[in-house]
Amino acid sequence: MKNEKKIIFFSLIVFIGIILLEIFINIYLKKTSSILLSQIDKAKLYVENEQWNDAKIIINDTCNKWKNIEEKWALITNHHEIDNITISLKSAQEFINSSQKPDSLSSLANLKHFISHIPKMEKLLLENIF
Amino acid sequence: MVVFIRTIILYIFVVFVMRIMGKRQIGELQPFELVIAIMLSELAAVPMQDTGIPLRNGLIPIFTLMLLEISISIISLKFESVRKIVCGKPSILIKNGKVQEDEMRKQRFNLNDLMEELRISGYFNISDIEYAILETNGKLSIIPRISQSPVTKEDLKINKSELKLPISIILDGVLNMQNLNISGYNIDWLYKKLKENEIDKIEDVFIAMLDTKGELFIQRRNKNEK
Repeated sequence: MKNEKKIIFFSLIVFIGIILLEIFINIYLKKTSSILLSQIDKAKLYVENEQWNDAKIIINDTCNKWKNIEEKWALITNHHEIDNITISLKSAQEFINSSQKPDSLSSLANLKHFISHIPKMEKLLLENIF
Repeated sequence: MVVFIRTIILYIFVVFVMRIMGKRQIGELQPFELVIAIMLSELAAVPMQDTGIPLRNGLIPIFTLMLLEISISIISLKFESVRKIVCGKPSILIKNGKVQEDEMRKQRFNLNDLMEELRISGYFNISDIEYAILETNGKLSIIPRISQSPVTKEDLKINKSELKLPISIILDGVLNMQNLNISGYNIDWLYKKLKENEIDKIEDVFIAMLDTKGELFIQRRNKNEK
């Protein structure tokens, strides 16, 4: 009986732990992805207005921010998804550095899709469950 | 190296989860336990070899399955109705010496299966069986006719004292004080017994245990033998 109580108590702790961890992960992904997405939106605006210097500064800043976020995201999400973001970010950086408007815009759109996809994937939605 | 460390982590984790789930998980499995055992092995194997998948994707499902298993087993322990749904109920395949056709059909258990199970249990004729019950874990329990059931000491009116629990006192030169106390003897008695067997030190004993008759069995260590 004592052992059973111990196991129930342990299971309850694990259950609460999983729920809290998942809530924390959701909040963290939402917060960090919104930081990256706002940076991409700014970069997109600068590219559209052909303000290449501002676009370069913001994409380099995004790269630095991504380096910090990447390590933590790797613990949570599929590494292939992270590779997709890194590849898109690198190509966007190169296109912006060489001032190529259509290519920059397309790689920024790709990047936006990949980043917004991750918190969406972790959300408690019917489409994610089934 | 990464795969190596991930394998160690997952192995320790799965062993831990299996221990928490209890002994039943290792022995005879009920349907819901079998499902969990199959899923567990798959869940541990996938993140073990694919380094692209975070360990969390393996650990959380394993923990969730453990929670489900514990919850279902506790609920089915408390409520018989739940137990009937989750584990099913035993089916009587032979009743009063007659094979139950309907029940056999219902369980999709053919006569060859039945005969095979009877033979494995040491019965070669259906006529020797009074009851055969298909248990929820898939095993067949057999109650033979009185004329075929083995003779017991009670039948022969042999009076024997009840068997005692065998207790190991010394294993490989190491004294288990707790077991010695449980046995009701003390260290002086043990030394006396060792002396009777011409052994001076506990370290020289390979095995010393109280058997089911309550007698001390002692075997000296090989390397110390003269």
